[in-house]
Amino acid sequence: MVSYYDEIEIEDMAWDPVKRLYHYPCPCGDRFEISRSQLANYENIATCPSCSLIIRVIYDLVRFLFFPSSVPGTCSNNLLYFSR
Amino acid sequence: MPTLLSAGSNAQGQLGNATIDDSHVFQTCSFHGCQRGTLPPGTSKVTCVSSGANHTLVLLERNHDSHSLQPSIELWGCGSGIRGQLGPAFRSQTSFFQPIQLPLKQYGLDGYSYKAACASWETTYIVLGCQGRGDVLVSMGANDFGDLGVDSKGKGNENSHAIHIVSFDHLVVKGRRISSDSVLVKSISTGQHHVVVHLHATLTDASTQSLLVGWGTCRHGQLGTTATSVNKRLPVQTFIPVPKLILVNEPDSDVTGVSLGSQHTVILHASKHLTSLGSNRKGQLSGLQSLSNVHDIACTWNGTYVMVGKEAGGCYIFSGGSNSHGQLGHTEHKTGYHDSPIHAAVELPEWLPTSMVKRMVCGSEHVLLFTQKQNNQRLESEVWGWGWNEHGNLGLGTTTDVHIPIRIWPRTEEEQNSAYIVGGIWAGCGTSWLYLED
Repeated sequence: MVSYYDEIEIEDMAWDPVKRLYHYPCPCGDRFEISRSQLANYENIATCPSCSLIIRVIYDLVRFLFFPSSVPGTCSNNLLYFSR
Repeated sequence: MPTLLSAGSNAQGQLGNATIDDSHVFQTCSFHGCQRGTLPPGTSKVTCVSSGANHTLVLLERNHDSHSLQPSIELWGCGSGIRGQLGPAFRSQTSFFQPIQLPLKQYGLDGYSYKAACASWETTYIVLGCQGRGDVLVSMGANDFGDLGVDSKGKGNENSHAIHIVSFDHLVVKGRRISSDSVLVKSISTGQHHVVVHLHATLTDASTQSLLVGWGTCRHGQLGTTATSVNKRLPVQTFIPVPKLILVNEPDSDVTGVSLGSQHTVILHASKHLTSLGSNRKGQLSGLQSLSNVHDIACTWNGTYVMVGKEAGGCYIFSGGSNSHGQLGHTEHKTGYHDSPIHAAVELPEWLPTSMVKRMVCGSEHVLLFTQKQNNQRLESEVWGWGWNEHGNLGLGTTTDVHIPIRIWPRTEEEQNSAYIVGGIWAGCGTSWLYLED
């Protein structure tokens, strides 16, 4: 069984508009990161680049895919993503 | 000569040891313009170390010349200053401590001196004091979740070239406002993205009031109930950008301690009872409010540690919360991903009575204890630790987690026989700090 450091709701994560990913503090001082495309791809494990620790991201996939304006960090690029 | 030592995670130079490599043993910190490993000349004490994600703040008590009677307090910092957390003048990264100069004059704050420094994730809080005037709380750095405590235009919108003065003028207590120049900051405590400040303030009717205020993330109730947690039809608020009053269980019993995890808040009252707020997802709050005779509290991100006095003298250290890396310090749930409510005591060796424990501090996922005992007219001080150790943050030379408290200082005979005693311990995000003094 995979051991998660924590399970974090997406509302508690911050959005980085430059790197275009969601992040959450890791206890090492770095941050757990997961991109929008990973989330849209049903992936939910955010990893820390400096650590072995991982978190499971809790989010509503339906809301994320079909009501993007209700999710932080979403913008018109969303349409591009789904029309690819 | 006194020294400051650090160990652990160091990706952006937050250990201040002139490298950006993790350190699995305690190494001396370096200060700008000083011989490697020494504190600035005239330093008589390190009064405070506080670290955030990748930055560290220290307050040094310094006598610049032997004639001055009053030592001055200086603020130094290291690590990342990218978000403005090391002051508006410094926007890069440093692996050794540099003095932080704040443009106090520009804000009408000349004559003020540093009283306390505290760091949240990528934000810095400084308490300034001035004889005959009220304290001023200044914040600088990131504002992802309203961390700055000032009403700037929302998430992530910060002016990293500025320092911000946190205002308490809008607070109304018993129908009366606070006169802002009367505020005394008794303590400031930070979690990941929320802050709790204990104030003594004079109200407009000249009565003095002890207040607890907080701001930052609030989704899990870590700042108490909010309008949106009462009215379910309102959209859930993720953070509160300006200070709000925090209601406690015992408003008549003054606050003597506050400790914050990532999503919870624990408040110690003079009555030795606790108020607990926020998430109990990992059992970090279970049973807390029924405890009495509590002497001290400390929180890791997902755990709570409580020193409870025994009737016969001495005390227990109870732990509750996440135990994924041995953070709870007892063998009961040694393996696997088990969370535990507060009911088990940290397992200290029998010959180390808890009456010797003078101080307990928590890092993000590890815990340190400072113990003292009198041995043949010599004061012996030791530091014990346990928990998550992936970055060597316990200074043992290894990176394996520690499930049962282990002595981390002194480790060698040389350290044991040295003339220095431990003058302070602190812990941060995968980092541990020791101050050794004569």
